[in-house]
This record gives sequence, C-alpha cells and structure tokens, in this order.
Amino acid sequence: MMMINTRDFGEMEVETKNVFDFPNGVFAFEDDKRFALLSPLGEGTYPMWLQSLDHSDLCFIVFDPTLIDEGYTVTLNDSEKRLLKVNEGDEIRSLTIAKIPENFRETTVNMKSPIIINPANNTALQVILPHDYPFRYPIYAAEEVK
Amino acid sequence: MLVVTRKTEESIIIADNIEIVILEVSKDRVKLGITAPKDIKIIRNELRSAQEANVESSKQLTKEALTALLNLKK
Repeated sequence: MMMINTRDFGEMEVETKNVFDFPNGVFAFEDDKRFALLSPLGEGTYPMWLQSLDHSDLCFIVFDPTLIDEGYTVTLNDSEKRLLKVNEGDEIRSLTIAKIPENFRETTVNMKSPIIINPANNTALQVILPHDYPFRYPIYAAEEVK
Repeated sequence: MLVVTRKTEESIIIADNIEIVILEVSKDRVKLGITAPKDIKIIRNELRSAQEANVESSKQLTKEALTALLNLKK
C-alpha cells in the first residue's frame, strides 16, 4: 500500500500491484514515469483512472479497448516487446485513453495509441499501432441514435 | 503541394541543409533516410497526433462529467 495524491479524489491509498512503470512516460508527458490505476467504480470496472505519481494534476480516464471492439488487435514491434519484456504468446493488457468533453455522451477513445501493460512486471508503454484504428473513436455514438 | 517523383537512392534537398533520400520502396512502404541539423525535430505524423490526443485527454474533467462517469453502470 502507498499513499498518493490524485487529481480527482484527493489523497488516497493504492496497492502497489496497481502501480505501473512507464520507462518512456506517455506521449507529450515523457517525464511521467509512474502511474497508478484507480478503480473508483469498483475493482475491475471501467472506466478507470490512470493517475500520474509524478504530477498529481495529470490523470487520464481509461477504458478496456477489447470491451469496446471485440476484435481489437495489438501488434507490438521488437523494440516495444523488448521494453515491456514480453515474448510471443505472453498475456498483455491494453488501456485506451478517453477524451471526455463537457457533454460526456460525446466521449471518444484513442484506439490508435493504447497503453500496453505487461502484468508480469507492471511495465507499461504507450504505443502507436500499425493498424488502421482511429485516434478518436466515439464510444456512446450507437446509444445516441436511440 | 509539391509532388516529385524519385527513384531509389535519389534524394531531395530542403533549405540547403536537409536531405531526404529514398532508401527502399516496397509494395506499400517507403524507407526514407533523413540528414538534417541536430536542432531540426523530425517525428512521424502519427506521433504528433498521439501527443495531441494525450494533451486533449489530460484536461481536467468538468464536475458534471466526473459525476456522470462515477455514476456509470457497466
């Protein structure tokens, strides 16, 4: 357990299993090397909050892209695999970062550059997938039509 | 937009000090070699889009959006 400062929930305690090392930071925030994954909606329930431990005002709302697109495919290149220390067939976890506008029904997620986690060593890396996925994919669009 | 046709190993020069050479061409891929002064930043366009997406996503949530998110039922 460790105490951290969060952007949206003040000071709180997180389990070390939910703290991840980002050796390269994330795009545009390369100095933020450690993030905690918070589950305010309950363990295992998305969205989750990816809170920087280096800057308490930096936080992303994240979803599981495989719950949004069942066929979601992640292909890592050799240097990404080396950084994460994953081998072919190892289990990895993906997170997609959401952009939440004032009207939260217009939320989009970034399917093109997800965060990939190696659960075996809690190392994480944001990648740009070679696949033709959008940077802004509306997740509530289908419901909006109703 | 200026359009130039080049063969493998041919190059173009931009502003006297940047050279872009075509190294390899395959079906849907082109390998480029770039020689430029150190202070010229060169990034893939997708990287810029990824950076912009992160910056937009890092904006503070409105109180309404935060409340709506916390009330989401899976």
